[in-house]
Amino acid sequence: MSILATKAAATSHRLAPSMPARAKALLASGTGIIIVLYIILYGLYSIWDPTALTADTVLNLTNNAVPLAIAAAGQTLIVLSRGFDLSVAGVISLTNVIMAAYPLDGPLGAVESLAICLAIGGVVGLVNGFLVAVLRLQSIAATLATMIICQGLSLVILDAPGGTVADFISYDLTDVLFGVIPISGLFVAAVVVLWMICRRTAFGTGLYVVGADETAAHLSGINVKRVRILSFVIGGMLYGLAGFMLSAQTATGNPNAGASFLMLTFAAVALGGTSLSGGRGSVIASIIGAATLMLLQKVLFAGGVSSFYTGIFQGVVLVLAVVFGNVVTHFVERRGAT
Amino acid sequence: MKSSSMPMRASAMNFFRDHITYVIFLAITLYFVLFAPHFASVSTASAVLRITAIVSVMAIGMTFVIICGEIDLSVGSVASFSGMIGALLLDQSVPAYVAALLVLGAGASIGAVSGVLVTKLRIPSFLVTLGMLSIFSGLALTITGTRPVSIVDDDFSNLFWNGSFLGMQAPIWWTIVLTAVGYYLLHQMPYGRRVYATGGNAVAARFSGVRTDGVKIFAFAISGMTASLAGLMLAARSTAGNPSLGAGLELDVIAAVIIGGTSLFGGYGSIVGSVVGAIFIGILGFGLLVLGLSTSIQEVIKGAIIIIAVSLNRR
Amino acid sequence: MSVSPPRLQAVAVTKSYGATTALENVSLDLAAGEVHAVLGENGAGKSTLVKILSGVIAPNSGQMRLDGAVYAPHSILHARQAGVATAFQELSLAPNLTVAEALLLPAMKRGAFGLVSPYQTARAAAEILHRYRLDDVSPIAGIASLSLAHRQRLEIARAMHYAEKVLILDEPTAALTDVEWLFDLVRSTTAAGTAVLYISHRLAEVRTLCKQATVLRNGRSVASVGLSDASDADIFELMVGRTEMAHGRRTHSFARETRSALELNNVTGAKLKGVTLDVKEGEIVGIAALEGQGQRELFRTLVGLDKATSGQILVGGKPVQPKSPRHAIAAGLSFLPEERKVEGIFSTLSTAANIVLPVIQNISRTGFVWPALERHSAARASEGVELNPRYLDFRIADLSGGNQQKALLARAMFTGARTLLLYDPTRGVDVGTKQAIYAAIQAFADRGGSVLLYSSELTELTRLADRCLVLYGARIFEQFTGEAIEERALVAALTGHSRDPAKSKREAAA
Repeated sequence: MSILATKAAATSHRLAPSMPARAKALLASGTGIIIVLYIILYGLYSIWDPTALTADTVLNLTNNAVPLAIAAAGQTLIVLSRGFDLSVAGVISLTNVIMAAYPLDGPLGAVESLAICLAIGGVVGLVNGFLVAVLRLQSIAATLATMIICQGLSLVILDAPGGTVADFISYDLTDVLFGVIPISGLFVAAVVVLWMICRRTAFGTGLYVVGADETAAHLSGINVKRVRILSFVIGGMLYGLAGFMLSAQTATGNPNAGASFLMLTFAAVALGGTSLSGGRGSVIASIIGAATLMLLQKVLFAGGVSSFYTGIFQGVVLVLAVVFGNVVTHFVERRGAT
Repeated sequence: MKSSSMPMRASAMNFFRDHITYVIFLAITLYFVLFAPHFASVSTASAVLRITAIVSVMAIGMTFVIICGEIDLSVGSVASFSGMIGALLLDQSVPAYVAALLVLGAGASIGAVSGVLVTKLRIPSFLVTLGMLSIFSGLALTITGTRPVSIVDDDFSNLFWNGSFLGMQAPIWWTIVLTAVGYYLLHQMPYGRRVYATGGNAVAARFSGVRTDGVKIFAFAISGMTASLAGLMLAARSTAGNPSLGAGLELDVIAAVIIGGTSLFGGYGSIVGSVVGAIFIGILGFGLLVLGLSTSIQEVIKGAIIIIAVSLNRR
Repeated sequence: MSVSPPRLQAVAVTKSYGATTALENVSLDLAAGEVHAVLGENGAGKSTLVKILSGVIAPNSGQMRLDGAVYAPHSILHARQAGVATAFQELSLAPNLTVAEALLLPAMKRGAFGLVSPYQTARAAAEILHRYRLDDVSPIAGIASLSLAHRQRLEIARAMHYAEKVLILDEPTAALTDVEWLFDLVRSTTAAGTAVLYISHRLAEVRTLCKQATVLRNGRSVASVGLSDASDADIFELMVGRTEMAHGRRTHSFARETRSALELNNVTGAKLKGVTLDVKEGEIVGIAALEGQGQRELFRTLVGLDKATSGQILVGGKPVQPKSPRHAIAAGLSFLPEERKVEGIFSTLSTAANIVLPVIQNISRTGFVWPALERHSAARASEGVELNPRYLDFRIADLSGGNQQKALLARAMFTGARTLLLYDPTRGVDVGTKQAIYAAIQAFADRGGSVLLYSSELTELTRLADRCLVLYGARIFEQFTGEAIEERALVAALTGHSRDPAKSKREAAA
């Protein structure tokens, strides 16, 4: 076998998708659609509200969306591997009350708080991962239990809304850098970069394969247990980060702070087009899905719609997002088949 | 014979595995009886049963959904919504019985809508009912702008909470009646078999001539109906429709069903188990309270018990 | 010095799942450069053996050696590192991957900072594809976009790439159109000293490639034969154990003058290309076909899971368009599906409840299912299939595969349908159960019921069928009646050979 011949043949094929193919794939995927949706929505918003493009509004929107975006990013990892994680609500509540009950001031305090939040999320994720991957409990049952435990612990620490988050965290982390860049946005950017790295590791590929076809993953030599546990641990750490960012934004503690995140993270994941039966989707799409959700809410409620409707609105969006996701999948698959 | 003893031993092991959680419940209850002051009394027993009646009733409906291999997170908010609707109907001087029937019908319809979304659009029930949870807790708030609606109708209050018959209070009667009806429907009627078949193996069920979609939709309708019954009981208890009466109850209900041995994977479980699960959660709460532990710690213990129960009931 | 140890050696390997033994005391020697065949019926233990050798499952007892050293793989990856790789029958390629990812998983090529590089991965994959003459496959194509034949080739190429010492091919030609591609590669692989274990039920292929074969039956290794010394008939006999099955064909003389119970007129759609057949009352009609000739679609159409685009289905003379299995049962067609575990049993229910489920409405009185009545009905149903009534109260999951299959046949017969649609009813069951199932099918036909029977085992058809139809290319290709139903003729027709002695027999019969 001549090496020359091999090389020549090897290059006769494209080894990377062409630019048009890439663009087409992006548009057909959930990511493309949600980006377009967000831009259209923002366009409408800016026509209707002239202050939409000011730095202040952008900062506000970003600060609002960041906790949900990060939590949705974490949830995406579990959904990709074909699971549901309810503990997101518990971890966010728990980290939030800890930051309000034990404020640590100054930049060093912020770093310590962040480390504590990540550690709490990581430990909860490890427990979830153990229950789901090793004991093979259903993810809903296991994470329901850990959610209840975390909620209970939050109530033990802080039995009613109150407490104050350290000033450095609540002021400096919600501010802007160089007058334009929201600092909270940088955290999301960091999550995106980490995801892009993660996607290029054995874990990243494993996540998609395990979600799509666990048997095939196993027969291809992937350590399914490890991938599952890791997805819960990283997901949990992201919930911890989300709790940290939420505390920075609200500046106070609430033992029920995480409750609304349960539904909103799923709505964001579904809006981003991630398949709820696993194996297809993207963390970035979920982040934009979260931003879209918050923007939609802002547009509606800035218009004077009573805030009582928030729940109804979010519920409807969740169901519609899932239906929408199914339709897109169907469309993409049908086109892929012909 | 070696081969003949095999299934025998297997089924004996199944029996033990199925009932180990009951043994643990018994042990914990015994602990409270021995060590919690004044725990062993008729008044404690009836208080526990009254407290747990609402969760028991909802757990009976939820059991059908979970054995089908689905889940219904909307029950708490459907209960709140039903309580509000019931109170508003009574406020318009609709007779108590008519109002109750209308509310139960509404609850069943809400459940059926979830069921249709789950089966016809193939959306995971977890998400459909999470959406329904949000929608109906929102609706319960918006109907009156969060204002509670007081109930003055004595018939209604007596029927669902305050009355008593043959020396037992109404909520305990409701638990008994619903348990009996649920038991017969699930364990003695053809429909119950189809529920087990659908949850156990949907493909095989279809091959055996079972309309799995219809079975699931009906299960969601049952769950919606028991949720609205619980809503009526809640409203009768506080003599008012209050939009947040049922908030968070879904977690207790699901916990009760899981602790009672019903598998979230579907195809396995029982009505009595769910009711025992609900009562056990009540005993645990009451006992820990008597021993002086805060409700927050109770939550933590409840979570731990779910994990233990599910691990033991794993199959 | 003595001769070097065999490349791969398995000694007394045993694997059981609960009460059922899948593999018992199987031993095997594989020399370097040898292609060794493993033959056996469905359920003989072939796939269990493959799983053990490739590290997917661990045996309960027994030992394996690779080049003389102990070989006890605890994972697929571990086996691969030791030089043993497998191309699985069920194809282990996840649909959402690219070709390159699927080939190199789990260790993909890395670029800068140790991150996976899609470009380097695609490049490495392109080289593998070229080496195994798959240049028509793009490394960046999605697996989901490939045809089944291409996926099978990829599965094989991947296994060859990693198989430094032993290559295991499990039914590698199930979806292949071009077997020469495979044969050439197998030859060059063995020339390099790799030993190949070739699992197939296609005797012709096995003869082309292999000299030596191990025959498995009911989980035991019954013989190791030199293929040049054994005739097809000898090998079939070893596989099915004819001595035990020597009770001969169906003796009942069936009158052809009876009415048609099931008629298909030019049924087209769902891959079927105009299927015409009829089944008389009291008749057993066999369907013989190789994998993927439309038999699955035929049965699925009859129970309403696939839709016919044209043609007519008549049940008892009345036109029927089955919409669902439920509808088919109501019309009088009862179906025994292929996959017992996936499509048949309700593992959490008792055997009695499993049997009576389709007729649960009829055996309930005043809306209640009376346990006594249920058990009585189930007992009546299980008599016909020789299922011991003491199993009725057990959970069906605790029964052996054979007893589960009997229960499912009882269920299909107990629906009251006059026509049974049986899809490979003895798949993976022991000989005793087979006899009971055959007896039950015959008794059903003797009572005037009609049966459409697909079987992957020709002996089953020669034994049971009054008439046998060969499906080839999704249409009825040949028809054999009575004495003309004979294995050699069927084998020829299965592969599309119509100009042989069978042809005249068919014409004589028609």
